[in-house]
Amino acid sequence: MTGQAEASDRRTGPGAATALSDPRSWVDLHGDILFRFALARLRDRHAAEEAVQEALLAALGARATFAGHCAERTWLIGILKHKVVDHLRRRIRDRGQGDEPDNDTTEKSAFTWESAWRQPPRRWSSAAQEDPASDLERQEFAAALRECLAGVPERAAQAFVLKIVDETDSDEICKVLSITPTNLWVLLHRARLRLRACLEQRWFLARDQTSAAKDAKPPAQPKGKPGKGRP
Amino acid sequence: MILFSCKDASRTMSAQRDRPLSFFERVSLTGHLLVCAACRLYRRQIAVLDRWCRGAGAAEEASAASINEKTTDGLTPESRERLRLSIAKAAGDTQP
Ligand SMILES: [Zn+2]
Repeated sequence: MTGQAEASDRRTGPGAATALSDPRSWVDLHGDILFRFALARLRDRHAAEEAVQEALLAALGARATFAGHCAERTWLIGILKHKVVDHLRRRIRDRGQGDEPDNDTTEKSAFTWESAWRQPPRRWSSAAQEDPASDLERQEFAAALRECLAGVPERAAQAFVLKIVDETDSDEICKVLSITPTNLWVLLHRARLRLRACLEQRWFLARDQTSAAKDAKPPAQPKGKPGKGRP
Repeated sequence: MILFSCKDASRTMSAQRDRPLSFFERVSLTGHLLVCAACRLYRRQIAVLDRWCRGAGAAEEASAASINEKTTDGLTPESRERLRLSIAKAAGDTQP
């Protein structure tokens, strides 16, 4: 939470002011972002809309407590995070606990029967591994990550987003998803196997090519927008 | 000493990012990494992956208010209307 607050403090645009805007404009200002945030974590449009509604109504009731330490949107996302976790918790409880038969195929598809890599990791250039160069690139990566997460089994994806993207405490994740720490490591492992392979194709190797193309002909092509050449 | 396969090694390298390894895990992993370039790459790459993903939540916050190009990702017009109504109603109730 603090990391995200810091990251967006320097930003301008909607939500950067320290005073809150009219709640009736919240849906227009932040609705899509909040919805996407919830959808990435709940994977269900109906539940995501519900969580956004709950968050906005809670924010409305808590307007007086907004201290202006962070941007309006950061504040709203902070509230939404709690609502998303509530939803996950309820869902796990309603399904009668998360220990359904485990027929995950992630490792089977990643390794041969001799437990060797089916498709060994390919080398990424050091340029491709460097931190994002701009906010635009950060957002493009977030979009690629969302697409790749869709190919990760639900519980592994939830564990990864909560732990790595949101930096939630492991104890809390285990409580919310009602799993043991060992389960959590297994889920994170599966998510990393899938995401690494997917983002290798979608991002890191593609980034290589775009940066190589830029290096090859530095100036003289004002037409192409950065990032558009990616497959 | 147990010989680690790439499958064992990948599990252990992921676990290492979240908890300390046992003595045997450490020894077996070190042994495997000495002879396996693919797993050495894997270890470096999941570190890069985690680092990039950590910033992805903040990137979501910063992106423009509405996503015009990718409408499948955002609210449907109906959802938007429902939300608008419920906020307006609640806001009206709390304001004199
Ligand atoms: Zn190996």
